[in-house]
Amino acid sequence: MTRARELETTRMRNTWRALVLVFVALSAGAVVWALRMPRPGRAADGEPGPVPPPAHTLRLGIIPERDIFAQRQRYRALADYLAARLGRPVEIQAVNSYEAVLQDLRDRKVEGAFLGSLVATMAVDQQGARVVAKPELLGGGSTYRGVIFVPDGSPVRKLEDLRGKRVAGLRLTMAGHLFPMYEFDRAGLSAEGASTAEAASGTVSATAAGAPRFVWVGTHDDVVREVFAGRADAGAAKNLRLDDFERTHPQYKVRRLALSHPAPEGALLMRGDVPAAEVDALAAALLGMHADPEGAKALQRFGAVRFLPCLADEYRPVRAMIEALGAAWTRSLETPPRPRPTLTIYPLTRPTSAPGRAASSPVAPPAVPPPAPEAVLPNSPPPSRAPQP
Amino acid sequence: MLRRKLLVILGPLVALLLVMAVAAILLLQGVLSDLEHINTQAWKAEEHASQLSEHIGQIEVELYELQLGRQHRLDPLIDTVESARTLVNQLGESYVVRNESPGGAGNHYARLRETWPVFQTHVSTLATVPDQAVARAHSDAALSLALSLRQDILPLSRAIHAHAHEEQEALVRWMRWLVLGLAIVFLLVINAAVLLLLRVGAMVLSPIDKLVKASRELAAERFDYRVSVDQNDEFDELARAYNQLAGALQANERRRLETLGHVATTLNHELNNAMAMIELQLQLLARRAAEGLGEPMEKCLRRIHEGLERMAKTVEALKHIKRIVLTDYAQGMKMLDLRRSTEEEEGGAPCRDAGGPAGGEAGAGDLGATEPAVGLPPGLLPPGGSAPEAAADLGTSPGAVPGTKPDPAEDGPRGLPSARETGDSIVLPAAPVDRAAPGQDARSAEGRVPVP
Repeated sequence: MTRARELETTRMRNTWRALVLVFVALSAGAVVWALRMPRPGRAADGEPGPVPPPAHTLRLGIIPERDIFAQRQRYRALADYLAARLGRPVEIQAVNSYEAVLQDLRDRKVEGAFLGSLVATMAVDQQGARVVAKPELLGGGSTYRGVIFVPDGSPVRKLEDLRGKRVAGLRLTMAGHLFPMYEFDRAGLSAEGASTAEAASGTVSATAAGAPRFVWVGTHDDVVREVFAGRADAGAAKNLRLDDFERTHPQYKVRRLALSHPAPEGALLMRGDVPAAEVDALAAALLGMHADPEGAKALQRFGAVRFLPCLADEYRPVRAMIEALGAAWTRSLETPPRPRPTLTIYPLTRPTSAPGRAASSPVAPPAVPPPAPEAVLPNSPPPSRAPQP
Repeated sequence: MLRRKLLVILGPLVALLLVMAVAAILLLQGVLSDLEHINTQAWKAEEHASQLSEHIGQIEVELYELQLGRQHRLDPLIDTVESARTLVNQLGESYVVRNESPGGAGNHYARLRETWPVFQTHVSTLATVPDQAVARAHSDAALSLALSLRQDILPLSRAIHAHAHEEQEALVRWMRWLVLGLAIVFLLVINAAVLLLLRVGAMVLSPIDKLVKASRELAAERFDYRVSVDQNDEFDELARAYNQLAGALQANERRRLETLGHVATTLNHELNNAMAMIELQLQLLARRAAEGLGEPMEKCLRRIHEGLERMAKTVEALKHIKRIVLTDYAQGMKMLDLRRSTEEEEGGAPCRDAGGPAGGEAGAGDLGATEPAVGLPPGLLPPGGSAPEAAADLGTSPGAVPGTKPDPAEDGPRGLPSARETGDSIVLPAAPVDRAAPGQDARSAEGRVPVP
């Protein structure tokens, strides 16, 4: 009997121990479950508004060479790497024109900028900027050329056929402004830097009016689009962007009429008053990127193999064209483009305040041509955002 | 054993409560998850749609700023467009949009997704283009696309809102039923728990009641009371222990009575011998008194004889004690009430206090009593006549104690051997009296002195 009682007591003790263990396990599970409960979702905050950069931030400007969104995305990868490497924030500032970049350099709003060959030459000559490095692109080469082109089905076969035609160009670029002016001048088609509006208004001479009229657009990609959208008869753009367009739009064929000498592609220039040590550190970071795994990744996203040293002497072809144009070039720079029209929102049909009364508004809408075809060419894939290998 | 029973009964109850609690928590957690889903998916999607519309307006403002020449930085515009594109992508990830309901949110989103890249291209061109005609063309296109986007965003937002609202309504209904169901289930479980606890209480209290009652019986000296508990647990053991105790007490009481009986027998034996001797002498004296000593001597002798008779009866009564009944004697002392002690009492305790002396009654052995307090059983009364007459009837057996019930079992060598043992010089009559038959001629036997 005593033995049975002892067994019973032992069994009960073990049972209580098991129950206590189960209780502890359940409590622990409850605590873990409570800790892993999802927190109330927070409303997604929008992008933070612009915050003034810290004082020691390195500000680098970029030109609107191509689609502005893709352009900034390219240079942001570069900026992130440079920030990590230099130990200071690096901010990329995109502007809406090549003149704006020069203006920012002049106004010391940026310490440096990645510039096209023409504005780089101007920055060096006018502001004493210092050329640091230029990228070697994925397809090989660190230069580009200006090209004047027409659609393959265009009746224009040579430059002389462009008399009186509309040529899409890009102000303050070698490929879209200087080179076509130079070629037109050589072909006896001096455009005199006349804008489309002046030529259309008849304020210039007949000879000048017969010259090709520039249709100024914002990027080299826009030059190509305007040509194939039919709003320009020819275009003057960077060969790299034209080649990229041909790859992404094989259905569109291009006829090249003229090709310029090569010029450095998208080199980095720093203001002359930036301390040499900073410039040297930046140069070292750029020139050694390809040897760093993180730098190589950033270069891949940027669309380059490595950075190469660049000298001011490499812009000699650009200077040669400027010197060849002489005063015409100077005049073209002095003639600012017409002010941009404001983006007025007006409905195509407006309800009248009273029956029978004509609609009136403080600002009478100008005569609006019929809506142009889609900016994106018909039957074409969306424009590429990332640089093509 | 009792613990095991409790564990068997309460364990499943606790487990059931635990399971129900876990199930309730899981169900409520499911409701919270659904609510979180509605907040993060449905309402968030509607918020994204609203923000997208705001971003489109912001894009227009940024374009205005650029075209008016108030700024030439593109970063704010680029940031806004990228945020808007992110919102478009997030809208596409919403489960409401993914439902391919005809004419539902999915179609609007598909159009939105097709229109957005075109709109973005126009915005990109408008941000940089200086040419008036080109700008106007792109401006018209951008405005048209912005309108188209808004026309898709609005119904998309409404569809998302309606879906979220439906989901919320469904969740509220489910929550209502869930709460009701849980309440009913918990009520049922609580009722079951109460019934189980009552059963457990009965399982404990029932044997305790029995044991308490048995203890009271034991306290009342009813040692033959037994407890029966059939639960196969510690209460069974307690009941058995109690029964053992009662049995032991009962046996103890029986031994006490037996001992008392033995004492009485001893007294009976010893006193009877002495009384026989005295009786014999008295008979001799009575005979002599009858011959010439006169009446007073005879009277005294008669009284002595009566006293002896009483003593004999008392001693005889001691042998027939069935229980102990006490009565007050004097000065707080108690004595045995022989009459009641030899009576059979129905359901009475074998030992009790009969209280003080009753009127006219006296306890046995009361020296001042004229009447014996002994209620002798009828068999002990003399068949007739007084003691001396009985003695006379007995003839040559003056040593007989009339009125005493002969007990053949008590016969033995007590009379003659005792007389010889005490050294008396009494010459006893020849033949003893057969006491088994009162009134029987004592001399019919072998002429020996009847031995009480």
